[in-house]
Order: sequence, then C-alpha cells, then structure tokens
Amino acid sequence: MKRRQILSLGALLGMSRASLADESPTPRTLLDAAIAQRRVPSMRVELQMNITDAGREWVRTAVLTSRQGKIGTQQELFSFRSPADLAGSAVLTREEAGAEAAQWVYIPAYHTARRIPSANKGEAYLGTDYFYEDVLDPRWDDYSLKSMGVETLDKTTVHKIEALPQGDLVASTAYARTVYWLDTTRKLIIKQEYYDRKGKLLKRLTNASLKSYGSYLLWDAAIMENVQTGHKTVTQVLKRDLQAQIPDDTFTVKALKRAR
Amino acid sequence: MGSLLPGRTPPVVRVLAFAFALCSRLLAQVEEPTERVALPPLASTPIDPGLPATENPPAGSFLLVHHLKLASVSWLGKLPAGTDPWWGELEYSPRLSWEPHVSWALKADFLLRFARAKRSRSLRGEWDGGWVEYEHGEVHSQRDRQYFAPRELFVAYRGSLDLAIGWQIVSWARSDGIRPMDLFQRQDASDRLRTETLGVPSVTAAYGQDDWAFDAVWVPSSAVDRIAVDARNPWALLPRASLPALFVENAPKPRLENGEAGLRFSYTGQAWDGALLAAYTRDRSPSYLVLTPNVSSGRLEVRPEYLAQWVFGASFALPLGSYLIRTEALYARYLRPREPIARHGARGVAGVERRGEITSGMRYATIVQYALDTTSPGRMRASGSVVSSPSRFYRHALTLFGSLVFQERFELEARLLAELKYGSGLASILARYRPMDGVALWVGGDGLRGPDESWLGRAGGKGRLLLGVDFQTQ
Repeated sequence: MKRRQILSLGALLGMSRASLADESPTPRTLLDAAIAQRRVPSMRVELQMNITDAGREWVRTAVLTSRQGKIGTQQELFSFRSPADLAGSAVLTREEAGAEAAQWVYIPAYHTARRIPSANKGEAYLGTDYFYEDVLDPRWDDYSLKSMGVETLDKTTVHKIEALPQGDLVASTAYARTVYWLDTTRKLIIKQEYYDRKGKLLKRLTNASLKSYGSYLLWDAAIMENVQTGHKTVTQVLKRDLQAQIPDDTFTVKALKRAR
Repeated sequence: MGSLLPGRTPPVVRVLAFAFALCSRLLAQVEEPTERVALPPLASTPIDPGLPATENPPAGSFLLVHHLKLASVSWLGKLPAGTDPWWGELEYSPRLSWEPHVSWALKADFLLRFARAKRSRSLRGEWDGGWVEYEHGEVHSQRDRQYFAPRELFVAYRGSLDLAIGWQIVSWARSDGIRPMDLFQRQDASDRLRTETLGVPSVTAAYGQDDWAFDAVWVPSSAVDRIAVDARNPWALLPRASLPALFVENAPKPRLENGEAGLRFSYTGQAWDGALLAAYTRDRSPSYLVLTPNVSSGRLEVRPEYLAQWVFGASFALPLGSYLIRTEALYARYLRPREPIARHGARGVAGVERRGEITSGMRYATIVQYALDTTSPGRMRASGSVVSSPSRFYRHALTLFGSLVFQERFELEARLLAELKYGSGLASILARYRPMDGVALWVGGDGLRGPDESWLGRAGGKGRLLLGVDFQTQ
C-alpha cells in the first residue's frame, strides 16, 4: 500500500487551541496533535493563488470544499473559478481509513472525470507548486519520524521534525524526506521543507496570516516555493465559511462534473 | 481582469468581461475573521508584507466564459477537383453556468462558427451539371463548417435524485479518442480530424450515494452527427462517380418512436472504477449509404441510413502503480441490418495510460490503446446499391497519444491511429504556446493515408497545415 505524506492546502484548514498533556511528546505525538487539531468538520474556502514563474505571474481563484474526520479520512473538492481556460476544472480527493486515497480530475472540455493513478500524485496540481499528494492526509505509519531538536524561529520556539518515507512509499512519493517546524504550544506547523529523491531541497512551504475563526486558529496565507526552479505559488484565503451547508453527495464523481 | 485581455480581443468581449468583473467585485463579500491573532513576525521569511493584492473571484453561483477561436486549415498536396484546399474559421463559444440555488442550475454552451473557403482551381468544367459553379479565385462560405448550435443548454435539479432536461453531453466512456460508450452525444464530424462534441436533446436522471450511482437517459427523438456533405469539403461522403452526387438528408424524423434510452450503473471506489450499461440507441453517423441514380435530374442520390441497435457494455479503470488501465467494451445488435452491414458485433477499446514528470516543470502523458469494431467492414464495401459506413473504417486499430507540457506554457501533442488490416491511418501533431492566461497560439499538422478502397484513402489530400489562436476570458 502506497502511503502519502501531506502538507499544503491542508495547512490552510486550521488548528484548535487544545494543549498537549504529555510532557515529553514523541515526534509522532507532536505531528498527530498538530494535524488533528486543525481539522474542521466541514468548510468552504475561496482562495486566490498567485503563481510566479520566471518573472511572470499567473492568478488563479478557486473554491475548496472539504469534510474532515479522523486523520486519514477526508474528502476535498477543489474547483477553479478563474482564469477562463481553467474555470470549472476540479479535483476530487477521497480518503478512507485503511484504503488508498483516490483522486479524480474533471476538465470541462472533456466532459468526463478521469481517475489519477496513485503513482502520479507527485505531479503538479494543475500548474501550481503543490503536488497531488500534498493535499492528502499523512499516514505516519509509513514514515520514520525523528526529532531534530528545538530552534528559535523569529522569536518563537519551534520543534524541528524530520519525516523519512519507508517501505513502498519510498518508490512512490516525490520526496526523499520532509522537515517540519512546529509551534508545539499552539499546535501550528509554521514551515515545511521538502527534499527531492536526490536529497536536495525541492520546495519550501511557509504559512502566514494566522487568524482565529471561532475555536480554530487558521493560516490564511501560504507560500509554496520550488527552490530549484524559482517557481512560487502564493495562496491566500479570500473567504472562509466554517458553517457551509455542504450537500451529502458533494464528494462523489457524479457531483465532480457539477463543478463546471 | 480586463487587463488580461489581448489587444485584438473584440470590443464587445472586452466590454462584457469588464462588466462581469465589475459585477463580481460588487457582489462578492469577504468574511472577516473573528479575531486577529498576534504571531511573532517571521523575519527570515517576511511574507506578510509582500503578499500580492487579492481580487475577488467570480461569484460562486455564476460563471460565464467567452471562448474565441481563429483557425486556418490548408490542405497540402492535390485534392479532388471541386474541393476547398483552404478555409479560415472564426468561432465564438460562450459558456454559462448559473446556480441560483443549491438545488437548481442552468448550463448553456453555444457554438457559433463562420468559415470562409477558397475554391479549388480545377473546379471549372469538372461538374457539368452546373450545380456548383464558381469563378476562379472566389472566396465563399464553407457550408459544412458554418453554423450555430447548442453544445449544451439544460436546466438541472439537484437533490437526492438529480434531474436535467435540455441539450446535454452525456459522457460514459473512459478511453481516449475512440470512445464507444459515448452513446448519447453527437459529433460535428464535418472535419474528421477536428471533431466537436455536441449535446442531444434529452432528459437525464442520476441517483447514487458515495461510490455508486445509477444514470438514466431518455432521448425523445434521435439526433445524428453533423457530417460533411458539401461537395467542396474534402471530407464529404459523396462518392466519386460519373454522375454528380447529391446528398439527401435522411435523419430520423422527430417522433417518439424514434426515441432512445439508456441505463448505467457505475461504481467509483477507492481502488477502481467500473460501470455496466444497457441502451437502445441508434448509429449517429451513417450505418450505410444507399446510392440511387436519379434519371430525371441526372444525379446520383446518396441517402444515409441510421440503424437502431441494442447495446450492452461494461467498462473499468484500474490504477496499477504509475499506470492506469482502462477498458470499455460493448455488444451491439442491429435491429434491421442490411448487407453488407453486420447484424451484430463488438466494439471496444483497451489501453494503458502513463503520466509523469521528466524534470521539474516538464510533464508527459502517453496512452496506448487497441481498438476493435467487428461491426465495421474495415474498408469500403458495397452490396448492390448499398455502401458500408464511411465512419467505421477499422476493425482492428492501434492508437497512440503522447504529450509534453513545459512550464505550463509550451505544449506538444501527437496522435496516431493505425488501422491494422488495410493500412489506413491518421496522424496529427500540435504545438501550443500560452503567453498568458486565456491566450493560446497553436500550429499543427495532420495527415491521413489509406488504400483507395478505404474511406480515408478517398479523401485524397495527404496532409494539412493548421494555424490558430484561442482567446478565453470571463
């Protein structure tokens, strides 16, 4: 079974204020807590992505509708609203406990939903710097986690944790390792770095614009930068609705075609 | 938004785009956070001050996309007398999606195309009947390519049972290019290498939960493909005969008895997708042609017949590592076949797809498929006055598709279809450059070959050069 790690758009989904009871938490405990606490049962987010490449900038707007349960069970529908040649394109992600994540992409011009093979999840997400696997929940059982100590990042004490893929995941993930910077007090992943299969730094994700929505602390901006190419995607939340009425069949292939 | 429009965009498109952008900004509202949280600034990555300005996206319930295409199509080599070696096309397609309520939606997608062509120089004197007479060098309309039609125009209700009524494109196929399970849609095949999918007037219903769904389609009266019938179009179905040929429209009349229906059960699970279907439908391209000399007019009348059929099929898609296996197959049984048409047979496609990245910023896709159609004779066959379908030109074929995308701006795409028994084949290559969002410049070429007894061989031209530019805005 090929498992995936995360990052990313998921980082925009937020975190709660609960605190850790364990006085000497393991890296797994710290990451689990951070991931678990940012999960919002259902949410609709309007996003803007500014993609910069060789001095050019491309602007995309999109709607992310999500429903999250326990870690490893989530459903996401990501639908582009602009530009015109992408409008209506959508990606559906379904993760169920104990099963491989499934993803489908819908392009309006083809009028049909196409399944994405699991091994293609290291592919760029419709022109952004996010990979398909970046929107999946982490499966820490497929990683070796190691604490890299405590650092001070901009006057904030952060824990640095390294995640190394193990087993089948080594062959299928685009990353040789991922490094997390965690603010363990507030359960926030502040920064992540992704290393390619050769071990070179590939991408860096930096979260920003932390805001409180009810009981949730959520990042309203993130920069995903490909340090090898200079390509960069800046994502900002334009509107967030944590009480969105989401029809039950939103996360089905049948409904994916409606995203047009 | 208006600033993204290219300089040559027609004023009406610019005005519409500006008005729409203005309305979107007025209508959209940004939800304010309940509280701002003090977080120590990240001095090493001072991204907050540098965040780009935001713009509100189009209101979530309304989407209007304008698509303008300009294209030039030039045939290379010698064409049959009387055909157009060049035509230019201007196409406008507005696409509207409006959801005034979570349970209701309106979808409209129209196609309006103008086509001007230059006549063949060898036309004069070839057609003694006088029904096509043009001055040397005249530019005229390419009638097959010039028309207005809805691709889609329907109202949809979305609840526990989804319902939709209007012109719809129902897509049930999984394969690439050759899609036998796309039974309830029609094609504009007036250019055989650049087909367009069009909807059919229909009522559809869908019911499902999580990973399974039932779909039902009812087409009150059959609709047929747009096919090339103008003698000046190199793709015209008219036979080369000593008499001038005349195409006689013979689409099924709009009666309920000419209706069609289909039912599909589909499963989209975590590991694989599959579907079963049964349908009563009709060939949308001619099943065969009936040739009748008309003594009084001195012409050979060409009348197409569109046969009704029962079909039963299945399809599945299965990811295997970095590969995606896709198969679809159906059994078709014609109700009133006529020699040399097969009474029944199988149509199917099986293939494998692989996508991936070569380097950062460069990705590729390849698809290899085998296609089977035992209801096709594979070549032109005649029995008395009946000639087999010009649209079914293979029994066994291999298709290849490959594409390269570099930095989301440069695209190269190639296709090949090789008929395995008689050597017919189609090939095309297309290069596309996107200098900015909504603008694409493209250049391509396509070609075909085949023995004289094949329909592809009869087209005469050996290749074409295509140039064009696409604009899209909203």
